[in-house]
Amino acid sequence: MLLDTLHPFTAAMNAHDARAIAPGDWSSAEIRALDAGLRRLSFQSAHTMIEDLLVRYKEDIGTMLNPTTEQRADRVTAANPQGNVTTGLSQPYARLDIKRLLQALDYQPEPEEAGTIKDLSSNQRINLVLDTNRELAQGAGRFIQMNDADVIDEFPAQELVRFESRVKVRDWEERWRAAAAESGDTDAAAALEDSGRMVALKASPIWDSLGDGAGGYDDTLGNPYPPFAFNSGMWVQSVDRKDAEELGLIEPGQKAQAHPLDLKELFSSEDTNGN
Amino acid sequence: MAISAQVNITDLATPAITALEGAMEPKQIAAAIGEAEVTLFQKHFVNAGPNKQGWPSTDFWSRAAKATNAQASPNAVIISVAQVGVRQRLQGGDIFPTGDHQYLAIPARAEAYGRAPEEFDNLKVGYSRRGAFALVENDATRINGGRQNKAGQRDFSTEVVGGGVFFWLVKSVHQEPDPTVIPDDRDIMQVASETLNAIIERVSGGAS
Repeated sequence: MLLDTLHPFTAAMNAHDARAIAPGDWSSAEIRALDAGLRRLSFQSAHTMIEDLLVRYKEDIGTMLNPTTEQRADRVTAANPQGNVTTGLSQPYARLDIKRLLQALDYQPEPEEAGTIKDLSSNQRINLVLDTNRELAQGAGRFIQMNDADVIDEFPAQELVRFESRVKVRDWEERWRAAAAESGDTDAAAALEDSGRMVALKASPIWDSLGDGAGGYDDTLGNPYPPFAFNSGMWVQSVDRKDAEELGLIEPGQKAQAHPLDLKELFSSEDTNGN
Repeated sequence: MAISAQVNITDLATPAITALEGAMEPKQIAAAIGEAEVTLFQKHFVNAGPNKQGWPSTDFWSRAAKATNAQASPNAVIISVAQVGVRQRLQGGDIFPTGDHQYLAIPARAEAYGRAPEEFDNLKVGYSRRGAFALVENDATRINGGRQNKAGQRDFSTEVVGGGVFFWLVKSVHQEPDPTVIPDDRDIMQVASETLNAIIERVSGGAS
């Protein structure tokens, strides 16, 4: 069943490749306020004007998203007769690569900001940029797959679930209620009250409201797919038709709809890197 | 290393697919099964236990869950986990240093876990009679300030710290295969079968 050939997460790679480097002295709030389409097609980080740094981030994240396999004679063993070796950066070595670039560029943080999120060379900052941008590509890639016409009727809904634990946990149920109220999705609100689960149809505007910070949250990323907020441990998983029917989200026989945002079209519409 | 696994739809369901002929394309069936398999793999990864040492998590398996995706074709669906390290844990095998490195660095304490040795600026190579064996913390002098006395003077004491092992250095590592890092074949086939039955039930209007 296991394949020798690695199959890339093409939809995530397309989402990543479509983003053009956009250095600038923008705050997180200013980036969030950009037109959604422009924001999804640009690769930026708050208060980062060093173009070379953004270029390197994009390259490194690309290798994390798309590890490749090469065959090396010196790696042939009984268990690995083809000598397969996967190349691609792990998080520590991507972080190290960024630190080395910043050293080469002679970057120095402001003394009062050293070691904080504002210090471009801090672990905290580098991890945030690596994680957020890798997850944005994976979230967009899965959004495309989960809303595929071949999938949507069997899996018409999705659930907001926790993938990673956090020391400081956000109140996602409160956000869910606020997003349900703003988007008018009473079924999604009822699903939480009745089952304790945050489930809604994939086509529901609740996902946009969640990503736009309904309820006054300013830590969101403005997308109807995860990560919905910086450093969030939450993700989404498809919910099948039977489950969605039992939760009162869809009627038996009712045709399911995909989310109206056509990311596939957005990421294939133009060559944003000028290649 | 990353992995790709294939679920062959025709092996599983040729009679059922034949029954669905005209109602659905085989690729549609494969895509739906793929979506169910992605969820199975993701739940399996997210539920992986903590690391053996009990050190703070690097979120390796939740990252693997986010890297899991499906690609459908008329005959099969391929589940791919596009993340370095997953295949190595699954299939095991020997690991050697890469690039110019002579040794692998194995974390010896929580602070080193999930970090590259080069990220530390206070480590030196520790030697035994057989050569390099570890990366240890540089010696340093810690100055401890005492309480201020009535005359406004403060006593200080010093102590030498450091020397703790951060990484063990080894020429290679052999990792045993761990088939439990992905769902077992029975679970994979059961999910495919259940999804197929749900499709048949829906398409036939509940007459499955």
